[in-house]
Amino acid sequence: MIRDITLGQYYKKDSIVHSLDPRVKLVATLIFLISLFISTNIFAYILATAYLITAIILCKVPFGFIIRGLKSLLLLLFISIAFNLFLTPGKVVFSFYAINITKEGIILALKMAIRLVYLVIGSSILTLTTTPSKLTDGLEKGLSFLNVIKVPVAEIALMMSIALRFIPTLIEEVDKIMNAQMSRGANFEKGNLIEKAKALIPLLVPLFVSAFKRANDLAYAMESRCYVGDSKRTKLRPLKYKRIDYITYIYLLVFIILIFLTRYIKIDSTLSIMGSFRGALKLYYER
Amino acid sequence: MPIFEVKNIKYTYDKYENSLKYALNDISFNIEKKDFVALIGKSGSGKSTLISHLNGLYKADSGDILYSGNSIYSKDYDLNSLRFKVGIVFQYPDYQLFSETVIDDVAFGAIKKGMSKDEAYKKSLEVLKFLNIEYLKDESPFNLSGGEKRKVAFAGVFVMEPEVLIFDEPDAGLDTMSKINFYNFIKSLNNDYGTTVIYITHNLDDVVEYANKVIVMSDGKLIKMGKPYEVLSDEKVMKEADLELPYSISICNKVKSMGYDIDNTKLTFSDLLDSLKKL
Repeated sequence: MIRDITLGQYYKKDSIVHSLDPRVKLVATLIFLISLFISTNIFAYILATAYLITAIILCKVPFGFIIRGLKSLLLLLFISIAFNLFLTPGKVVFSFYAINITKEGIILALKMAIRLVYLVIGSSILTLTTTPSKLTDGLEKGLSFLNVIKVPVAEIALMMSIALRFIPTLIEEVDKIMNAQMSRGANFEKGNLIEKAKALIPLLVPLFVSAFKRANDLAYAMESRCYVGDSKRTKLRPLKYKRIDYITYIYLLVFIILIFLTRYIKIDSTLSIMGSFRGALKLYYER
Repeated sequence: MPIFEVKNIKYTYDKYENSLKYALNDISFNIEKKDFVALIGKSGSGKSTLISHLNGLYKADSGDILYSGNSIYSKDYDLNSLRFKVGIVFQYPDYQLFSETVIDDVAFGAIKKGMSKDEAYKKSLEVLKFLNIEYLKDESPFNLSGGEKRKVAFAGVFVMEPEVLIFDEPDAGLDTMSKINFYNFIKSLNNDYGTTVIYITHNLDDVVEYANKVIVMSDGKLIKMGKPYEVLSDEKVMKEADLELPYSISICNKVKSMGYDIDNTKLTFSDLLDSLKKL
C-alpha cells in the first residue's frame, strides 16, 4: 500500500536512460516540463507523448511501476479536472441546474489532466533512473555557475541528496510502523475523516521520533568523518559527457524546436490542408 | 486440530519483475496448540516475511493459511480479530511506542480490542505488574532504556491476551541475564497458560534449551521442521541453511570422535553435563 509511492525511488536496471549523464537527464526533464506548459495545440501534445513514450521504452522500467506513483495523485487530479470543468466560462455545451459545462472547460480540464499526469510520469522517470547521489552531482555541477553570485550550491545539493536518500528509508519505516500498530489492532482505513486523522497519531509519532534520531546520528557520523561544508571537494567519479549524452542533447534540441514550431501551426490551416487533400482524393476517385 | 495450518504459501516483494524471486517459496507446515517453535535461518531467508503472514499483515500470492481450522483468506474472515489472537512483537520497540506514558501505550491494544477505558487501564496495570515493570507506568516511553522499551512493547501486545505469541528476534541486544529471564517467562506462559509461542532467533544454544519444534528456512524455502535434536544435529540441513551447530552438539560430536559413546539425543546443557558425567 504505502510502497506505491514511486516518486523519488530508484529502480535499478541496465538501460540507455540509466547510463546517461544526470545533467542531460535534468535538462531533458526540464525541457519536457517546459514543453508541457508552452503546448498550445494537439500537435505539441502528440510530440510530448511521443517523447515520453520514447523515454518509457528506453528506460526499461516496467510501465506498471512507473504509473504506480499516479495513484496518490488521483484526488488532486479529480479536483483540478472538476474546477476546470465547472468553472470555465465559454460556450455552454451541457447544463443542468446551476452547473454549466462549456466547450472551453472540457478542453482546459483535459489539458490540465494530461499536463499533471505527464508531469508526474516525467519526473518519476528522472528519479527512477538516476540514483540520488548522481542526481545531486548533476545538480551541483550543472548549477555551479551560481557560485559566482555566492549561492551555496554544494550545501544545497547535499541537503537535497540527504532528503532524497531518506525518502525510501522513511517509506520503509512507515510500512514497519504500520505493521506494528496494525498488529495491535490499529486500523488506518476504517472510519470518517476525523477518526482517520486520529488513527495517524500512532503512526506519526514513532516516525518523527525515529527521523529526528536518524538526523542526529547522521550528523554525528558526518562530523566524525570531518565533514566540512564549505571546502572545495573533489569527486571520486567526476561527471564527464559521453557520446550518447551529446546525441541526447541534439535530440532534445530538435524536440524543443519542434515544440516551438507547433505554436505556428494553425488548426484551421491544417484542417484546410486536410480538406484539400480530401478534395484531391475525391477528384482522383471520380476520375 | 493444529492451531496454524500453512499450505503452500508463496510471496514475492517485486511483483513487477518478470523473473520472480520468492521471499516465500511454497511453504507448508502445521503448528499445534502449546507448541514452542523456533524459526531459524540466515538473514534474508524469509523468516520475518513468514511471521507477518501469520496474522494477515501480508497476504500470500498463492496458498492458504488456516487458523483454528478457518482460512484467514476467506472473504468474511475478520483479520482484525485475528490480530488480537495472534500477537506479534516486532524487533524494534521504537516502531510501536507513541503515547505520553507507558500505561497509555500499553492500553492502546486493549482499547482497540473493545474494552472500555477503565477496563483497559485496569488490565494494563495488571500486565505491567505481571511483568514487574509497574514502576514505569507514568514514565514517557521515549525516556526508557532499550530493555525497558522492549518490555513495554511486549506488554502492549500481551495486554490483548493473544493465544499465539510471535517474537521477531526477542533476544537481540539483550544482556545474558535479561535474556534468560525473558525465555523463562515465556516458557512459563507456555507451560501454565498454554500460549503457543513462535520466535525467530539466531542463537541456536537457546533453541536447544527452550523450543520443542524448530523450523529451518533458507532462501525463502522451508528446508526442515522437527524436534530440536533431529533438526540441529542434521549436518546436511545445517550446512544447506549455512548455520553453525549449537555448542552442545559440537561438543557431543567431538567427544564421539574421540571414541567415547555418548548419548547425544538430548541437547540442553544440564543433559549434556549428565551424559558427560556418565562416561
